[in-house]
Amino acid sequence: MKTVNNIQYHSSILEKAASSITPQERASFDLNFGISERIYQILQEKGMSKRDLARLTGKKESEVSRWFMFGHNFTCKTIALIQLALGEPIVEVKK
Amino acid sequence: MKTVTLKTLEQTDNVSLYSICFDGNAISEYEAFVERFKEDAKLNNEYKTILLAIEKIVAVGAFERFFRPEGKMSDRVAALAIDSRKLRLYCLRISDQILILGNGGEKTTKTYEESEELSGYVMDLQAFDKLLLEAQKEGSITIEKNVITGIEGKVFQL
Repeated sequence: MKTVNNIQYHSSILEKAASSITPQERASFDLNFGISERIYQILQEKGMSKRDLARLTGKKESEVSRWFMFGHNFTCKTIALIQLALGEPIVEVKK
Repeated sequence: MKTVTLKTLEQTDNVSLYSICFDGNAISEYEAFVERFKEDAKLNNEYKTILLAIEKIVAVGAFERFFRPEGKMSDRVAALAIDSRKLRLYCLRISDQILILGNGGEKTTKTYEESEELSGYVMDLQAFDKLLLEAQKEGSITIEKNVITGIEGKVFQL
């Protein structure tokens, strides 16, 4: 039983598969997931739906749904649009 | 008639991850999926997204928002919600803390029903879901928090 990224793998097939993911791929996935979860959290706090977010950003609901799917690659342009629409910071750059 | 057993893949304090094994096979359907797509250059991004998504689910929970319903309203079959139309992984989302992974494949048709391969995976899970509910009703298995008890050595007839 080996540990990869703090997960103990009981299956050698899954352990090998997890080991094949590069640090960059993992970091990119984690960043995008974190952004998506932050947006979800803001919507929950404000009692808003994805439909509300679509209306506020002027995007189609199908596009907004993709923001909440695993592996969505956010652009800075989209993050800025969502931040402005929600009036809350999503990503803050350390100075 | 196929026989099915449940294999525990990962277990944390929060989430248990299971997969199904057919006809005494030691390799579960999810492991077979991983083996099949690990060298697929065309679907590598989607494959790795699925691996990372499953890791994340084990860490935070199998929340409804991470899945898109497939199958019928009456079953618990879902596809992992990844931002790609190319690759699908099907599963049974039992609760926020229990996830049973099935198999999946490349999506080449508009709906899974149009694909013999994908609809086969969905139908297997639908049938297994019924068996699981029956076993729970008759008391041979119990589902509590993040654990399904009574599955060790239990063989389901699909």
